[in-house]
Amino acid sequence: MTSIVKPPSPAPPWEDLSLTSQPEPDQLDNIKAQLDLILLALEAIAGISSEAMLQAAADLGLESVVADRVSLWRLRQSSPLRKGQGGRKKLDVDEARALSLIVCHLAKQHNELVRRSVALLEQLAEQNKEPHQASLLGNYLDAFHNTYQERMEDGETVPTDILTHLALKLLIDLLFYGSQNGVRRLWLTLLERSIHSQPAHA
Amino acid sequence: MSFSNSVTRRYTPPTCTLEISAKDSPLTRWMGRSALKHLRFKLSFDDPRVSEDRWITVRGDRTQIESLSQVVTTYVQQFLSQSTALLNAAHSGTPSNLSQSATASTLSVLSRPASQDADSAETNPARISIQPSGILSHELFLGTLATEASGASIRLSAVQLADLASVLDEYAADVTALPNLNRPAWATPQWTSLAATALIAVGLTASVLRMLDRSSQTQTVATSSQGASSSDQRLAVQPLPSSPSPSPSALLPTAPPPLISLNPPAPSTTTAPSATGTLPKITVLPAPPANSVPVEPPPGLTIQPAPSGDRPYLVSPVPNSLRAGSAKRSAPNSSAASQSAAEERTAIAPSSTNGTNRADSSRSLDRDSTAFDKIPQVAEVRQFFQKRWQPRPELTEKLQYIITLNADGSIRNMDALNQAAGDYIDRTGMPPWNEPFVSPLKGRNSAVIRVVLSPDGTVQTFLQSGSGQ
Repeated sequence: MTSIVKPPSPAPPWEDLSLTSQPEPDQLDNIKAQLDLILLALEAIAGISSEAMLQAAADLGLESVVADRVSLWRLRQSSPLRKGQGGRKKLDVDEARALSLIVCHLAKQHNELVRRSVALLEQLAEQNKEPHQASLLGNYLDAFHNTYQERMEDGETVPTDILTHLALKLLIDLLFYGSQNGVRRLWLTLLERSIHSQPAHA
Repeated sequence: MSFSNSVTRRYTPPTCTLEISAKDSPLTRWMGRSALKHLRFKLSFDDPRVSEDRWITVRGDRTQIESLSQVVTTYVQQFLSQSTALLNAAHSGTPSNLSQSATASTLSVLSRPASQDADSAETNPARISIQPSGILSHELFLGTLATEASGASIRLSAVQLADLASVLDEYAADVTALPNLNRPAWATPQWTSLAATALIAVGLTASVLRMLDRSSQTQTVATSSQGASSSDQRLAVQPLPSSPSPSPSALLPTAPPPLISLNPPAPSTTTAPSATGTLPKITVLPAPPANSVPVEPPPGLTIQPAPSGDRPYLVSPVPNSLRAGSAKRSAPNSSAASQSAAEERTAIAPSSTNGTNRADSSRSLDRDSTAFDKIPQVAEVRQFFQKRWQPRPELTEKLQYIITLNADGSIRNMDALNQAAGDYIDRTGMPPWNEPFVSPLKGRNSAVIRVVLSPDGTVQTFLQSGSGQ
């Protein structure tokens, strides 16, 4: 009798995010910093609170890694860019994965909004206008700047232009992270050993 | 013709539309998801924010869409990685080039040259590439997908790029497109048809016996020289559904031949059937139209392996002779030979080193030549291409296609017979599927025409078969 081969069940998202070896310390620093900032971008564009992030963790079955506000804060606080050098600075791979999944889940949820924002940005750019001229973007940039300055060690010293550039770039990135293959894309970005100079913080 | 199993898919993100047109492969059941062959795609950049007269459409085949996917994926990844660099640069004592105006359209800082390995003909045969122009704008160079209407490149905004990436992801997740197997140039469809029906004529007995021979070897199925086809052939080892007797018009897929024609894997020494485990029921796959040539061959037709192998064996309904054949075949074959040997079983082609088939081949060639222009469509097809086909001095071989016509004169199916033909498909002026391009057929439901385009610009067409089923 025929044996029907069943289609392989879709691999859980974890399967995609395999690591052959532990990331190097500076790579991990990068990962922490990026994840924290991408979450910051999500907060700034969609008004996402810790509640929403925790809810996402619950939806994804990640409560064991991200159990409550405190653990979420600590994970994000592990970013080397953050103020307050005391406290937990470690982020292990599972935690990084969890945060990545949360990021993409949220990005997907808010994909319409992100898309609208980027489209608006494109429109303004074509008209040679500054992004702030659209309130959606203006609000986003303000929120990003303010939150960044509040939380980050170099918040006061980073040039505004750079920050704006970063904010807009992350906004566009969210468009890709909220797509079907977003998790893989994010993970690859995080793991990539990019050209970078030594971070200013030690 | 037997049932149509055309498959079309449509993916419609807001700023582009991808349509796939293909044939369902019988291998779908083994691959766990849709396996398609003869894939053609149509990608329309139809952003509603842009006026319709600026919408661009490109078309292509499996190779091109895979190229495009590859390029887009790599480019998107590079794009995203820029944020890492940006982040680092921002926090490491800013170099002066970062303090620029943040006007989005001029944000070209850290836009890396996106020239990947776009120039390698192997990794990027379609010569598609994307170059950034700031973070909001990306120039997609269409390579072989370019048309007069599209121009060499299209500018994509961030949103459009994201949609393109996601549509290609969706397609990739949805579909496995099988490559067309390349057949040696001398394996004309005429021989394919003879081979196909020879195998069908042989029927279950032969395949069962072969299965017995091979059942001890299934563990050692070697990977043949061609990736996808080898796995497909291996998959074909699995038990097949038993189907009712194959109709005379049951056609073999272009993709790896049906179960009966397994690759001889590693050197086999078994000749006696071994009772290993389950004896699967083997049937000829109820194959969808492939090259559509269901001509009944004379029984006892000899199948020759490729020139590099030299173990002919007889295909006939008689088990004993088959077993003898298997025994002969059990000598070691190189993988290339086994690959082509597999091909031979569906495409009985004369080996250039063996003369015993010559009589057969010349007989059928004669049949072919007297069939030239037998129906008016053969001439119409020729004229169609003569208007479009230009001399191509860079070509070193002729391009050969098999076109199957529907009754209304549209193309039902089209196959490229050699690699160059596949590569050049968009430069031949090949009309799209399902649009009538010659007059309707009279007195028959289909016709198969072989088109030969020469580098010097000449066009030849031959009626292959198509006897009205």
